[in-house]
Amino acid sequence: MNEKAIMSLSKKRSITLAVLVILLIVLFFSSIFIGSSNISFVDGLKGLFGIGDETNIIIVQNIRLPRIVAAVLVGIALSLSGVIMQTMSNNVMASPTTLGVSNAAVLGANIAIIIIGGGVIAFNGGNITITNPYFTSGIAFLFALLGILLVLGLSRINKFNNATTVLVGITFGTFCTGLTTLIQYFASDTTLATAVYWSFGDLGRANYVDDLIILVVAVISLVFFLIFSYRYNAMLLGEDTSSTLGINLNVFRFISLLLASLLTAVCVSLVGIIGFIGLIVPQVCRKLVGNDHRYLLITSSLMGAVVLLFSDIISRILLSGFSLPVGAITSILGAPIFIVILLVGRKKHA
Amino acid sequence: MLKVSNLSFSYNKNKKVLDDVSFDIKQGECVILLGPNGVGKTTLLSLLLGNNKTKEGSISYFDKDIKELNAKEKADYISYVPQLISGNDLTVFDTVILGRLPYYKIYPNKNDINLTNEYISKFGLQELKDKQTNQISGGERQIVSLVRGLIQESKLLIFDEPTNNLDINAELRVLDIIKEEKKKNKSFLISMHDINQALAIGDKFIFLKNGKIYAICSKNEIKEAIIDEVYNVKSKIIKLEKGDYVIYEK
Repeated sequence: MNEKAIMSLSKKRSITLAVLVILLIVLFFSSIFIGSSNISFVDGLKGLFGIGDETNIIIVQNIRLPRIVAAVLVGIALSLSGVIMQTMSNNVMASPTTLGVSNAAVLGANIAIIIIGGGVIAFNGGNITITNPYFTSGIAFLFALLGILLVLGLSRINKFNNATTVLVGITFGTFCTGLTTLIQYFASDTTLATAVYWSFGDLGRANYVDDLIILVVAVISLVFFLIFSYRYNAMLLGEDTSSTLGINLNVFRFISLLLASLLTAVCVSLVGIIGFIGLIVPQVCRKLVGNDHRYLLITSSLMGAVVLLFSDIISRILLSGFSLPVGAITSILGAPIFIVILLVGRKKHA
Repeated sequence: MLKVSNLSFSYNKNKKVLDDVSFDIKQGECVILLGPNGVGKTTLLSLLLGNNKTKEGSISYFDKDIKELNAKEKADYISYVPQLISGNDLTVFDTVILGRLPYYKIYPNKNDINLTNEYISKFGLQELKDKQTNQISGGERQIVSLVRGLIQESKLLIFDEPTNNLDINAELRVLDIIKEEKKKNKSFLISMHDINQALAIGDKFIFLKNGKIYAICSKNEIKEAIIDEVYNVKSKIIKLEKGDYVIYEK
C-alpha cells in the first residue's frame, strides 16, 4: 500500500503540473478572443502579434492582454501569499484576508476616496471609472503596509506564537472593516459608490504598469520562497525542532510574512479584493502534491493563475457585453469548493 | 559544555514550573532527566533550546549565554528530537536530510545527500527511504526523527522521551542507537519515564520533583529512597549481572 501511495504522490505531482500548464496555455489563448467584442480566434491571435485589423489589435493588446496578464500574475501572487502565510503561521486557515492585509487596503482606499476625495467617480457610458486610480491605490498600499507592520509587531510581543498572529490579523481586519463602515456611513452617494466599486476585485482595471509592478514583487517573492523551500519544509517538524536547524525563527517568519503580505497588498491596491484564491488554492495543492514546498510553491502558483484566469473568463461571458467583478466570481465559486474540501477532509479523519 | 544556573520559570505568576534548577553536562556525558508527568521536564528542555524567555537564572553553552547564540551556533551545539510526533507527507529521505539544513548554502549539496543515504542505510531505513512519514509506524517514525537529529552532528543531543509509545523492539533499537552514538563522545540530555531504560544508557541522573531538582546522582548513587520519594512508589533495586534493575509497586 505504501509503495503505491508514494508512487501516486510523485505521479500526482507530475500529472498536476502537466494539467495545470496545459490549462494555463489553453485558458490564456481562449481569454484573448473571449469578450464583449466578437473577435474570432484567428483575429485574436493576429491582434496579439500586432497584425490585421487595427481595432482588433487595440482591443487585444490594450484591453484584453493587460487584463489576462493581470489574472495570471494576481493568481500567482495571491496563492503564493496564502501558502507562506499558512506555513509560517502553521494554520491552514491563514490567508491574505486572515492577516488583515486586504481589510487594511480597503480602509486606505475608502479614506482616499471618501475623506480625501482622491478618486472622483466618473460615469463613462454606463461604466464607472475612478479618475485618480494611483492616488487611491497608493493610499491603499500604504495602509496595507502599515497594517502588516502593526500585525507583525503586535504578534512579535508574543514571539510570533502561531495562533496569535492569525488572531491579531483577524482582529485587526475586523477593526479596519469597522472603520470602513463608519466612513462609508457618512459618505455621499457618489463617493460611496466609488469606494464600494473600488473594493470589487476587478482585473479590467489593470494596465501594463500595474502588471509590471505585480510581476516584480511576484518574481522576487517566488525566488525567495523557492530558495528557502527546505526551511519551509523544516517548519513542518515543529518550532522547537526548526529552531535548532540553523533558522532564526523570528527573522525568518517576519521576512516571510512581510513578503507574503506585500504580495497581497500590491494586488489588492491595484485590482481590489479577490477572495478565496489565497485560501483555497494552497489547500487544494497541499492535498494534490503534498507539503513539500519545492513542489507546493510551483503548483500553487500555476493553479492560482489557472483559477483566476478561468474565473475572469466566467466573469466576462456570464452576462454578454458586460463583465462582472471577478472577486465576486472567485468567492461564489470558491465557497462551495471550500465546503467540499472541509467535508472530504472530515470524512478522512473520522 | 552546558551549564544551567539557578533557572526558574513560570507560565503565570502563581506557580513556578521550574524552581532554582542548576546542573551541568560535560562533553561525552549522557544525562537522563527523570520525574513524574507534569514535573517540568519538557519545559526545561524547551528552555534549553532558547525558545522561551528565561527571566531568572542562566543557560550557557561553552560559556556563552544562550541569548547570545546565533542560529548557526545553536544548530552547531544543539540537536533536538521532540516526543513522538505525527508524520507528514515528506518522505523519510526528505525528513532526514533536513537534519543537514544548517549546512546548506541553498539546497543540500552532494555531501549532504551522500551522508543522508549513508545514515539511512546504517540505521536500517533503506526500505522506508521513499515512504512518507505519515505512512510508517510510530516506532519507525521515531527512528527517522532520531536519525534526523544525529545527522546534524551537533555537540549536544536533546531527546524528549524518545522511547515513549514504542513497542519493545523499536524501544531496543532506539536505546541501541543512543549507546552507539555515545561512543562518539557526544553529550546527551534525555528525558525518560522508564528508570530501567535510563539505567541502560545514562551516566548521570537528574530527578525532578515539583519543578525542583530532588537529586543529581551517578548510576551507583541511585537509591531506592530517591525513587520512592520522587515517584511516590515503593521500589527495590535488584543487582543483576548486567547491572541494576528497578522493580516497583504502589
